[in-house]
Amino acid sequence: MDKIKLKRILNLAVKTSELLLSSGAETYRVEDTVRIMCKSYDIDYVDTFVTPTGIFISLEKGSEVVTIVRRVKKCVIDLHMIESLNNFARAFNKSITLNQAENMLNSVERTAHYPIYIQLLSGGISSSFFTLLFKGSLYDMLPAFIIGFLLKFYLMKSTKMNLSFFLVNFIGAFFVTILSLLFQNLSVNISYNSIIIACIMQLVPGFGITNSIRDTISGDILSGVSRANEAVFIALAIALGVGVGLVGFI
Amino acid sequence: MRLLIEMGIVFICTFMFAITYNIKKQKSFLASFASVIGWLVKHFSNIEFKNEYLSVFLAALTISLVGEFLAIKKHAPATVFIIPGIIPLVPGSNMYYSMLAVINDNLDVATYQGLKAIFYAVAISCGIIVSLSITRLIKNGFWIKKSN
Repeated sequence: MDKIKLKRILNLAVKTSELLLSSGAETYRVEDTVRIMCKSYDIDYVDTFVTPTGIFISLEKGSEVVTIVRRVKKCVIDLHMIESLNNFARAFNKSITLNQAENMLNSVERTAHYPIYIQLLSGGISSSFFTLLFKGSLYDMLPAFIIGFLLKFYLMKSTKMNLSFFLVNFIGAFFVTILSLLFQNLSVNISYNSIIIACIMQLVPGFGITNSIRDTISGDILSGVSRANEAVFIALAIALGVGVGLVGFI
Repeated sequence: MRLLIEMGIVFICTFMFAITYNIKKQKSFLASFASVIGWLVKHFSNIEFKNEYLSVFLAALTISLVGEFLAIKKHAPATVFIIPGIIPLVPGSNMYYSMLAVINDNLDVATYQGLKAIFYAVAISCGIIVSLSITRLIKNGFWIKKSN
């Protein structure tokens, strides 16, 4: 095996792990995936170190050693992508040539998302039904639907802008609060408390908490701590956004 | 009746959340199913033990165990089922009421609600930790050794 082939394997591995990490996979899953992929190509020595923001992979075959460092910045949660990449890596064996594997990876990368209107509607519907769970009345459902719809639209747009996660959550919570207060002025039947809670459920860091715990228990203490830290800051940003909105406009 | 309505709401909310996380329909359905089971566990353990934190812990434990089980059955990562599943348990309301109380300078209520939010989060975390440890134990061949 020459150096060029080794480099192609490395590129394949790093592309897979980058896609996994940027769709929000746990770090131990990324490391396992790389290891499984490289082992199926008879690499003597594979070592990876993955943090939520970067990937380090080193491969060794005979006298050749190749290493790559990749910084991962954006993270858009896409659990279907994680699932298909996971299955892609586990379906690997020696009979698949590198060309085939690259084609497979490209086709996995292009897997369809839900259409935009379905994503927006699902944001709206989840918010409108959450009002009922948080002691809201039926009158709160329509405002919550509209605000949840707009919030989902904003969240989808914000991934394309280069905002920090703190600012994204702060602005989101702030606008949710202002819009809920506006709706309350329209009708006496509407209570803004349940609307705000239902809409900020789209922002709360349930994802961060889960991933941080799974990472910590799997032995990736560094990733666990950094993800937990991120979750705390997201919660702070939401609290700040809601607080500023309530103080300014109540 | 109230419980049935809540189960329906939890189901719809989780299903919609799963779709926003881009999970395909069949798996979204299963995740919502896990979430409804967790909600039932929360309801009945709250009646049995009269302790909210314990019931949230048990609910998170159930959801994660069901998620891990479905993950093995459906050949998908367990997070696909667990992350949408625990969303109805996340203490967003306590966080909000804590903030509201801070603004009204009502620090008693603020501390109460804030601590409640933290302990709910801790309870959820403990549920996930216990279930993950159990599954690791089983996957690493704990049962096989015992039966030999």
